[in-house]
Amino acid sequence: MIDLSLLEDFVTGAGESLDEMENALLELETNPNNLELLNTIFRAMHTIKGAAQFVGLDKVSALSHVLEDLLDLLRNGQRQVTIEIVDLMIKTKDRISLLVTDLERTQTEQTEVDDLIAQINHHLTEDSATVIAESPTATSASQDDVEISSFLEEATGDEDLSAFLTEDNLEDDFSSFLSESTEEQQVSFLSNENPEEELSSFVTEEKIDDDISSFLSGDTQEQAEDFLSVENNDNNQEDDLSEFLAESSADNEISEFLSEETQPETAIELAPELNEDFVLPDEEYDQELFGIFIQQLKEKFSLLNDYVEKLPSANNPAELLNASLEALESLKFSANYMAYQQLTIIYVKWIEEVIDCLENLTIVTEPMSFAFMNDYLRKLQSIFPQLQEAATAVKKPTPELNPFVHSLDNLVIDEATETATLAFINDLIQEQPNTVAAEKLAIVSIPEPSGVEINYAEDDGEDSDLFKKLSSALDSSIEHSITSEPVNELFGALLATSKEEQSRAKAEKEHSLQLNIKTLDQANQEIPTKVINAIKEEVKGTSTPEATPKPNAVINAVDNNTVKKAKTEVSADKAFKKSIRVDADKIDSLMNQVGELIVDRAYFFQLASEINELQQYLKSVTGLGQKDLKPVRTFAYRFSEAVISLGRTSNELQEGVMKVRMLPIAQIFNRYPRLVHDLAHVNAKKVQLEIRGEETELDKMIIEEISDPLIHMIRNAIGHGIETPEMRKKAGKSETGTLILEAYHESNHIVIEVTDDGKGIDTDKIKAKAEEMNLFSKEELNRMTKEDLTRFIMMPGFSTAKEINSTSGRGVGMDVVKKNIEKLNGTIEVESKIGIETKIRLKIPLTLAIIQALLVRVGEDSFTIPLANVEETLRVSESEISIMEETEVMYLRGKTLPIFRLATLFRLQSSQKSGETDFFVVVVNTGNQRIGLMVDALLGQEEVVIKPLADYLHEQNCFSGATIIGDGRISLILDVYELINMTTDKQIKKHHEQEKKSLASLAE
Amino acid sequence: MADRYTASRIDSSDKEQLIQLVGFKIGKEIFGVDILMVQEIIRSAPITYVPNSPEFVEGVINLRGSIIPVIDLRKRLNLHSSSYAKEKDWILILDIGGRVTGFIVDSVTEVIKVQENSIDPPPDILVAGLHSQYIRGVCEIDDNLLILLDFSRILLVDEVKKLKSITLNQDNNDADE
Repeated sequence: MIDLSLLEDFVTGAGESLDEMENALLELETNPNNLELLNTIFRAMHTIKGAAQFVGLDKVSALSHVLEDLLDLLRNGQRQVTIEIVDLMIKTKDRISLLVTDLERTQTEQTEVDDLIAQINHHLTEDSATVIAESPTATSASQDDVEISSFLEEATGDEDLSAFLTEDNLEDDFSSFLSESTEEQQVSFLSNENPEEELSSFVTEEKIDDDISSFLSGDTQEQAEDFLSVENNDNNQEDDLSEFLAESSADNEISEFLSEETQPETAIELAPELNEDFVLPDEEYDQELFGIFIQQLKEKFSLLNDYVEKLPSANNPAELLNASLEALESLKFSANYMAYQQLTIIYVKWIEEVIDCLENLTIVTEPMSFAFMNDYLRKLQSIFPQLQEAATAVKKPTPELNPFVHSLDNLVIDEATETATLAFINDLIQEQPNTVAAEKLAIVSIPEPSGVEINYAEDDGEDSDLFKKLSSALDSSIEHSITSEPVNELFGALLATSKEEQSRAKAEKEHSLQLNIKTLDQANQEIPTKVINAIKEEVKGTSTPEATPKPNAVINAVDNNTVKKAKTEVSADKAFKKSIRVDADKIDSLMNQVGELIVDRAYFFQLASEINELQQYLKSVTGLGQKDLKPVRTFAYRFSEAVISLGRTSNELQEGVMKVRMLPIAQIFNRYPRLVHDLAHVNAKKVQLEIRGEETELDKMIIEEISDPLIHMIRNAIGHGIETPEMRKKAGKSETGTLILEAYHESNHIVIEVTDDGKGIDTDKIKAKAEEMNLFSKEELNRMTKEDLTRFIMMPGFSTAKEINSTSGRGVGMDVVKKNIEKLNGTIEVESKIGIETKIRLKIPLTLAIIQALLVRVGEDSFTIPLANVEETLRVSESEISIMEETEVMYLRGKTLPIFRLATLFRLQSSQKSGETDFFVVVVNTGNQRIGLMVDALLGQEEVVIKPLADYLHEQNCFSGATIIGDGRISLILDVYELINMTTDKQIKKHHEQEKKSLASLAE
Repeated sequence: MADRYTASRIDSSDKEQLIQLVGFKIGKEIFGVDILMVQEIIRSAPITYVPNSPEFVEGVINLRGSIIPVIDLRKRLNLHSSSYAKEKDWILILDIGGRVTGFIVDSVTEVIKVQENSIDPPPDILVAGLHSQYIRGVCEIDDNLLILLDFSRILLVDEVKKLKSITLNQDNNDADE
């Protein structure tokens, strides 16, 4: 049942929605009256539900459905947001996450949801009882009303409708409803970028609402049918619709509302039109998805057509009805998934009727009328004209072929009579043949057997003028269309095609601009203007070989005043589709290439300096005069210029590629509100989380690596740092503790700080514990500074907690943090003020692939030390070095610094002559430990690209990789962390040996 | 005429079973490796020594931007070191299951074509002081024994690690002494 191909999309999409929802839920807890938050949650939930239904996930959709019901009650204020409800919603969210994880792993929904659904339903029934008791307008409402309301809410997201529908006097209430719902609609369409789409959906929704209302009110079944047939009758449409509008006391409101968005005269006229327009909200969809949608629609439609034909004569109509019900359900899901709300409404209505009909079948045996099925089919047909063709050519496979192109072509062939109109437009367009350029805004082309091709290209400067002309041209064709069905169908087909084209146009964003302009019939107000989506087809293997492929563009029709608006829309669209998903491997390989370039650049720099040397050499050896050397000098100069320019470009390229890998840290920060919420609950503490600098960007790989350490730090902060509310009160602090997560850039590093205003780290406790654990003698401990003592918290197995609980106490956390951060060449610092705060500061390089490093030389070989680990470099004379416990040490500003000779560590021949008394020492640290490395020479600082070593060279030795330096030679990169470990291991070993020796001598 | 015809037919049918080997020498022994594994053959490149690495790892080289470990095949296979100092080494760059590794050999001979069925399984006894586990097979050409090496075994990580720990222990023992 579950569509596997769509599942992946669902999992990603649901993940995003769930994250969004979780954040909103957590905020809702502190801010229960925020309607916008509820709306956010609702939106997320609705997205998940729609997608789940489309993919065919029963449990997810069932769960999200009941949650929506609950949310709806909350949103309407029929129920207060309480901690209890928020908890329930969080639970539901978790359950959905679980289901999503199930799906990701096993492609099935395994987790049970019934218990939660029951819980939510419990809340729901409680609510409906309250509603009946409290709401005066719904006194007569029965349980059914609630059902209707939830059903309607599902379809339109507008609860007020139900209340409105139960009223007898439709017209009186229509206006009041409208004014209410106008606001509501505006809210619910807030997320919509496109004002015109908002408008159109709004208006259509009103219209459909009216449909539903007349249908649901029961007394006017006929009326509804009339209405439906009216829509299908083009000749009568205008009259009936204007009548409808005139009758409706709401049209003032509509126009009022519409006038905010567009011209008043357009406004009223828009309403009847949108019935055709509404299936095409001017958003961009995945072309593939749309293709699937249309394919499915066609199949189901022909199925339904079949059923309807058989129905009157069928022996067992129930069977057929059930079958059509099934088809309709799947249609509904897909429409819902595509967010065609109005289409969904039609389906929902249809389904309702079919169900009704089924019920009646079992009770009444007399022949039923299945006319309504036909009505719906016709209605659907009017929306998707090409379906007619699909209905006749049932199941005819159309692989590779764009069905729209075909229907379009057929229509055009039928449409010889319209050639005149088309030619007129064509003529008009030919007036501007030169403007086909980059600024090309719109092209209308209708492939036509007679070779009539319409290209309309327009220039920025002349657009309004041209549009006026085109507008009238189109208008005249529209007038034709009102009387002639085929043209109408043509435009319908174009309308449908435009959808697909839009998504294609998206890909070719440079040339294809989407114009979304309303038609305005200035001559005759009574004639409803057509909203036309006209399109230039990119003719691939269609019947018009003479048509050259042109950028796709869409004109939804023309209004000279809305051109400007359309343009701003275009730019908004562009901003919207800025992000693309790229395979991480591709970026990695690009990164490698850039790394190579950096190496080459270094090589060029070296060559440049060699040329200078060569120049000196020529001068001294050949004894050539200044004049003779001039070409050489000029060449050297030009060469170095070129190298500098190459350097600049490659720097920019490197930065650019690095930026591609950069992601805002919000990615992980956003996971923590939930963690904090849960931890605070578990520990019975009140914690407020503050996140700062979440837009700070860093390498994707690092983001993944620091997630775990941050979790540990947050757990520590809440578990150990922040006190219980009572203790905080006693200490004179506010009951709620504050936890601050902050990220910011500091030169080539990102700094992440976790600060809590808790009790701080008690160094006395640490001292006591360290003594207890026999780590150091009392005297040693007393000599240690506060910072030294604080560092103990990062020792494995060190914990001052008296007992182990679920959050903490085993003394593992900070050790993990330290390890992980050091793996990233980062450092970690702890600052703590007793009773005030604890601040843990992580400093991590922005990227792992390219690092700043210090090059040193030992004997013949050069080694690279990451600059992040380098504290300072010293020149030390032999007299400063003394020997302590067989280790060389020196005093550096009052502290002992163990010194290791790299040559000895690596068993290399030092180039140091025995007589020399001066040494270079590089002081390296890993946050809390530091040693001095004695090297033969310092070669300088360079930016190096880390290249991996073969695994058997990597493991168990102190190199994290290698790099290629300017002259092409390899320099190994020291893994300072491992190096320090190695040296301490050696020390320990030495220590043990000494102990053994002393024991042995004692034994003797 | 007919003979020639049949001969050529036999030839072509046998071609399917022909394998091409790159022959190389270490000391006096001739070895072979499937030509498809050989990425390239270079004359000695500057080798950077990697401290604390297994003894047979000569170091790493820079092959057009990639850093490739180089193994001294003589040391790896525990062959007797040649008495004469070699002038220049050849480095065979092999792609062994995705790991590109260089192997130092004394000299590289021409490409040798042998018939698949002329390759015998490795004899139980040691050939030229080699553990038979590193040998894929042997075959005779021009009265010489050609040893086909199984490079994937030569580079088995576990074994490399084991060797490494042995060398490390030796080091420690050295230090202890």
